[in-house]
Amino acid sequence: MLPRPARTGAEVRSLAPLIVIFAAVGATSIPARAQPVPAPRPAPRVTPPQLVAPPDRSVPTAVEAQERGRNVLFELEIDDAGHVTAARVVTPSGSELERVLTARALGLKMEPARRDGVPIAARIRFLFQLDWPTEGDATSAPKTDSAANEDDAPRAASADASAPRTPPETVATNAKSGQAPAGSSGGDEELVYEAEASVEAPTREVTRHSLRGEALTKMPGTRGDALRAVEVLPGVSRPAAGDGAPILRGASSFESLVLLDGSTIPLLYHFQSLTSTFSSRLLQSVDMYPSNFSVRYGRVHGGVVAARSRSPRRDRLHALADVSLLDSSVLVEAPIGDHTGVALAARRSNIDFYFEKVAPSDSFSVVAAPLYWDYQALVEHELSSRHTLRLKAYGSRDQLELFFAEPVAGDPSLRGDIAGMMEFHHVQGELKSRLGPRVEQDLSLTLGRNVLSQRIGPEIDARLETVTLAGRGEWKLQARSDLSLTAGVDVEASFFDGTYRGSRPPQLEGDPSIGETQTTTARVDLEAAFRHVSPAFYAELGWLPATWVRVVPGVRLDYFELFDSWTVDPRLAVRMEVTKTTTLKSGVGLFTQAPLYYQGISEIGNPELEPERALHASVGVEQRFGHWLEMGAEGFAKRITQRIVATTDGNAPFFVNDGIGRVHGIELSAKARPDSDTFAYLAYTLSRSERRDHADPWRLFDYDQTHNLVAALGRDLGAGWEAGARFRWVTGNPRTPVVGSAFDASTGVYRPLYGAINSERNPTFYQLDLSVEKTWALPGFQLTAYLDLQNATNAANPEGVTYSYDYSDSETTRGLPLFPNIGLRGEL
Amino acid sequence: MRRFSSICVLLTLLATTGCGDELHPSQVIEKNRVLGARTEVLGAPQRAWPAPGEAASVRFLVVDPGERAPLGYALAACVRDASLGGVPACDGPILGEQRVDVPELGAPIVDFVVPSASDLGNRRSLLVFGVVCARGAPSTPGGLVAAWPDRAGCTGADALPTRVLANVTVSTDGSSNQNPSLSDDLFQQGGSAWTSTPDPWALPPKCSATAGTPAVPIVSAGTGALDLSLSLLGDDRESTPEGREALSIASFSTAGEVDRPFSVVESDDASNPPVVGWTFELPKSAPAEGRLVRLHFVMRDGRGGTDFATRTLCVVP
Repeated sequence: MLPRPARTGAEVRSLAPLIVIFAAVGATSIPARAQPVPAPRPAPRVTPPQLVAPPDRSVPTAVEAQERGRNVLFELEIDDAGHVTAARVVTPSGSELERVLTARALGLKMEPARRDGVPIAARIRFLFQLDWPTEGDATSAPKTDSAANEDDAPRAASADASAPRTPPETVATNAKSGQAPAGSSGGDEELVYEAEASVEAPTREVTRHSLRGEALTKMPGTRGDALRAVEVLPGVSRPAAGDGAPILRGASSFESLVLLDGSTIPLLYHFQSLTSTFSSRLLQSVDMYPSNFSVRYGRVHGGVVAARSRSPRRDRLHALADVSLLDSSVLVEAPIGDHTGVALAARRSNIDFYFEKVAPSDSFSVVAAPLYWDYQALVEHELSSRHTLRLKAYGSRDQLELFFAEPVAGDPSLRGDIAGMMEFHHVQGELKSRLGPRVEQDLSLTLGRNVLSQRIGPEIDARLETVTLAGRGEWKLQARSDLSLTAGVDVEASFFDGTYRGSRPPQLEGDPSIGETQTTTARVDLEAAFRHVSPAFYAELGWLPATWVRVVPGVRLDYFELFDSWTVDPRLAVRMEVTKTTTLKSGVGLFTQAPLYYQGISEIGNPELEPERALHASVGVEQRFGHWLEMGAEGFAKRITQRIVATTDGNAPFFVNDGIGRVHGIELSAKARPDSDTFAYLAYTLSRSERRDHADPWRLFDYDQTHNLVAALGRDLGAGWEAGARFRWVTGNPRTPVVGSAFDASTGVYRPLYGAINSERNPTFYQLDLSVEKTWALPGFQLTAYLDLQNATNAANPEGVTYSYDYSDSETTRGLPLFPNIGLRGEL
Repeated sequence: MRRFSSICVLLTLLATTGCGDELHPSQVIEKNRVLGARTEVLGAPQRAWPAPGEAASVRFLVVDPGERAPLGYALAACVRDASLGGVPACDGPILGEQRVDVPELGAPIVDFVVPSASDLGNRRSLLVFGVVCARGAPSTPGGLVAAWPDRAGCTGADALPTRVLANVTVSTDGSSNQNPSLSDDLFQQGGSAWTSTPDPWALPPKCSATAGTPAVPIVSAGTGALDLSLSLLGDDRESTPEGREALSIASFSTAGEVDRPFSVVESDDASNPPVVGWTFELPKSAPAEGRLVRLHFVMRDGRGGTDFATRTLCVVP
């Protein structure tokens, strides 16, 4: 590899004027605020969770004598939808009474805590009082002062783990019964409610869309998949058929990051689109940054989806089993001692049990039916009040093997063994520490092993083994009340070892020949072992020049060893809370997309490639209406330079930085929670994403979707019934027409003659998904039956065109037909 | 390794297998078709790989469902570019060109001379390309190279154009590749030997009066399937540094339907001799005078070697 001078400085300089202009626009976009500094805004008003229905205070039938008269103090975790997600007895005795009341506590109906009217997650103490018979009652047992005993328990509550970097905001209230979440439904006793509710860290990015609570696992049309739920958010395009990876603001899926606790997931979905390889039930949140993300993230110039696993529940043993048409899964959580929680989960597909019955068996024989499995193990241990250690192991495997005794019609290369396998195992350690009153530290290290093998007849045979090491250290200093500094180092190292025989990889986007028969393409044979180390350093300021303005400038420095290239990405985000309910926001920054590793292998790529660069800019407004409706509007633009494209003649160096791109659009969104039983999302994106290769005319991006409208609604209907619906209406994806063909006499296969790239579109896509589930609450056990109906109207939704052997005739290729997934879930 | 798209290919394959047959099956000859091309070194017709400086020719097999159509064509040879998908083009000057503007009977052919090794550099592939016009003349505005491929077409009211191309591998290191041969292999229909005729195009389409020989066996329409087979008595699988060749056999019929368009004798097929079998769905009906059905077979060794064979059946009611 030839050494090259870094050219980052020149790139930054060339874009600097735009940054300055945008920053100036952002700073002057609120003329009304260009006045003397206004008076400080009052502190955010935080209200505690409220009971919306009285609890069942009846005395359980089977109560040990020593438990009679006892009321139980719980620590409850309540999500921003008002659901009790965890109930832990503060001073547990392991009694049957505690078990019964824990089940009741988990079923409590709450209005969530709110910060300035916005629902937030909270952790509270809750005294569950029962209607014990009064003194003298013939059936009463000797009364104990258990409530008083419970009250002796420590009152300190810990902060919500969802926002460990933010000092909790404490609320304390005295309230009459019926207003506070005490266990009394009547009477005139005055109850004291005390709680700590932690709030999320203030949004530092221009745009962060977050999914929490039931939105993660109850979004209709996602089969309960938390990562798929991001598809209801603005700026997220409908993913390609057979590929669920998110397409954010006109960026290819490989131009965006999907992270789990800060580490890249090697395989997002089983079989690329079926279901996430990490259990959604172990996720606490999914944050989506469609562009203009923080300097904490890099190596891509699209967007970021950051999933965060939750802490294992430590109140008692929890168990869950789920069986559906697609797969079966189990989840067990339990405390180990006072400071440690453990969660174990595993899943296995069920497809192989019936695959041979539904597959067209006259075409091939099944050597190994589609099979996937995954596992997760989480351990969280509070080392001290200042240090928390999390260890996590997770992995997954997909495999499929078929045997075609005869070539598939029209493609003599598709024959024999058609097999694929992808497996990964990752272990991750995270240490979160509060080093002092003003200093926090996050350390994480992830070690992984990924194995990919595939064989498609005689034409493609590949095996790649990768050992990955990812480490991150981040330190945050709250220098003053209005100034914080975050600095970090983010290192990724990959060690590749593999063999490959197949066609030379094409340009990743904008090449209609992807998917052509392998018979017509030249083959290469490779055997390679190499490494790629990519360290990055970043720093970010959080500055509040006024109480209503947050300015977040940052800079990220990246090095890409394989391409011997340094890049510097300056970024700036500004958020202005112009009123209590209105926030204006804007941002601009540079982003870098590292070339894919194989693009640097000289036999098939170009070691001299530079990283792609992109300039992001966006401006928008967030508006809250009352306590139940949030709306947003945002305009965005991106300019991509140094895009990696294939050489025009197909000769070495095969890839060059001779492409550019542009993306712009408007997003409108609404999120409503009219009551604790209902959630609704509405998102509309109007956008245009274009690319230009070499000096060719501008063309549409492969997944450009002019209009993208998504609406989702979920409601708890009561009596254990829940239902939801999702509707999508999306402009059809562009496609390249075939305007003719040429017969390749050497192979016996016709080669298509393409028209202008992406000059036509598939018909408009529309799809209605429905979901319904019924839960039966049994003593100590909960059973749920569910049905998730994708494409309930069985809309054809053509995804492309299938051609006759000589391309003289064609028919549309329909998308996913009506697909019901039925299952049963039991929870202990 | 963020991407794992290949497994998706497998699933797509599963989803599409068996569905593509809704469109016209490629193994049925419903119009004038080009089925293959054979490269021959001048003076050594069994050699498919010419060496630098050698003269060679590429001859195309063109068939019709009925009577043979006269053909006009424009063909040329050049050094091929390195494009991955779509239709390849030239990366150098024309090495040989043949043009027939007045349609005639006969196979389209182009002769050329392979450049010297120094002119080739590290390139090993030549491209033969052009347009074949059934009942028409080639139309190549600005010349074939300029018109290729978009504007390469035909003129003539009934003209049917087919753009064609073939890859010719140049032997630059002394390696060689022989064309496979179907002439020493055994075709059978219904368990009986099935020989070739000197000129299958010379047979009358109303065949019942002249049929009944091993070259033109008589079969009855609408009687279901007929077993066909090819025994590779002269096994043509050459050994190469990557292993033994695999042979693919494409099969076509002018009526009825062979059960699949492609068959393969894999490199590791140890049977002796290797046998390829087909099920031929007979035409549902035939005229009283009989109907001549031609079955065309194209064998490829996957490295540029090719041979053709034609067999005939007389289908009677």
